[in-house]
Amino acid sequence: MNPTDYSGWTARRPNAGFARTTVDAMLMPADGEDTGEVAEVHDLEARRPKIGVFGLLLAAALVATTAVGMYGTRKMTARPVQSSLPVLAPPRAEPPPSRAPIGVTMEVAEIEGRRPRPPAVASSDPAPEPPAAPVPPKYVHHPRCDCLNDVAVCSCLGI
Amino acid sequence: MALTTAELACKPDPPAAAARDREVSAQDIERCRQGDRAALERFVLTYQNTVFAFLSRMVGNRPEVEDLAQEVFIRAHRALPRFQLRPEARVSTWLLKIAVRLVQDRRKRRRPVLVPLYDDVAADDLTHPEHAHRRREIARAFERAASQLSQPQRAVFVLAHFHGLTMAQIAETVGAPENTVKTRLYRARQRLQQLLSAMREAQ
Repeated sequence: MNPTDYSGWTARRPNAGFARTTVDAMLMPADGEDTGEVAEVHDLEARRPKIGVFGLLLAAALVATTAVGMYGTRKMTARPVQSSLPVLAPPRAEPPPSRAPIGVTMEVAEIEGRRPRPPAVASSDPAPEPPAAPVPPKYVHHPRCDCLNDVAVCSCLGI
Repeated sequence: MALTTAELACKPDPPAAAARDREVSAQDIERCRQGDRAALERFVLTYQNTVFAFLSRMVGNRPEVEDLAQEVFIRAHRALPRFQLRPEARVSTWLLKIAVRLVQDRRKRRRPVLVPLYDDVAADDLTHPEHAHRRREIARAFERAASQLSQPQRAVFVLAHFHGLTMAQIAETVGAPENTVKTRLYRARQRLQQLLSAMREAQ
């Protein structure tokens, strides 16, 4: 046996009636009953379980992704923002100067005094009010605020 | 890996090469399209040896080869309306392409058992039982060695060696680049030579 001579590898020969039977099969009505169509149907049937399993896996992945997404969203909305800052007082708007109690602090009184007054409008009442008697300034102990200027939330705001 | 032309030169199987050289005419193809029974029989008779030779070397010499060969012709008949006979295109190469795909499909469905049975004995072998036995032994040895090759390597080897197809034709038939075909052929031949040498030494 020569390892480079492959003539010994003989092939199968067709039998005498092969051509006739094959032509019979070829001329069978092509209405899906011939072997080719049947083979394709068998292929599809063989693939059907795989398609089903793939579909189930896809559906499970979709449900899991949706659940995780919904849980995350719910968690975010349910958590109060202030809960993480229990020690901080809620920010309170500073009362407008006009509504501030008179003479609360000396600085406020001074600022009020320096603020430019609107030009006097001629009124029907010519008699100006007599100036109020000077109130002696009260010195109020003002707690020191150590918060930096750029701090977003300062607990000293209300003071 | 440089492959020389001499390394890739293959001596085609004489019966397969003869069948390859004998192609049906364009008129016969047209008659086959119209369902002419006589033309279809001529078509099958012209190419049956080529198809059988390829299939029996791919899946082993088994009765199943006949079913596969019939399937090749049925597929070809169904695809005939789309087939365009060009000067450079051979019907035999087209049929081999169908056969390659059929073997690939079959392999996907279930793994082939590449064990030759050799139940049928040629008529001339019956007159010389010793010759028949020796020939079957040799063929079995080739079959055993070829079963060690991968399916793509085996297809390339059979097409190149027994059907005399060029590298470009094999590349088109198996649907792979030409360089890949060259590599597969080189490796298949190396492996077969190793295996057959080992078998010869073992005898």
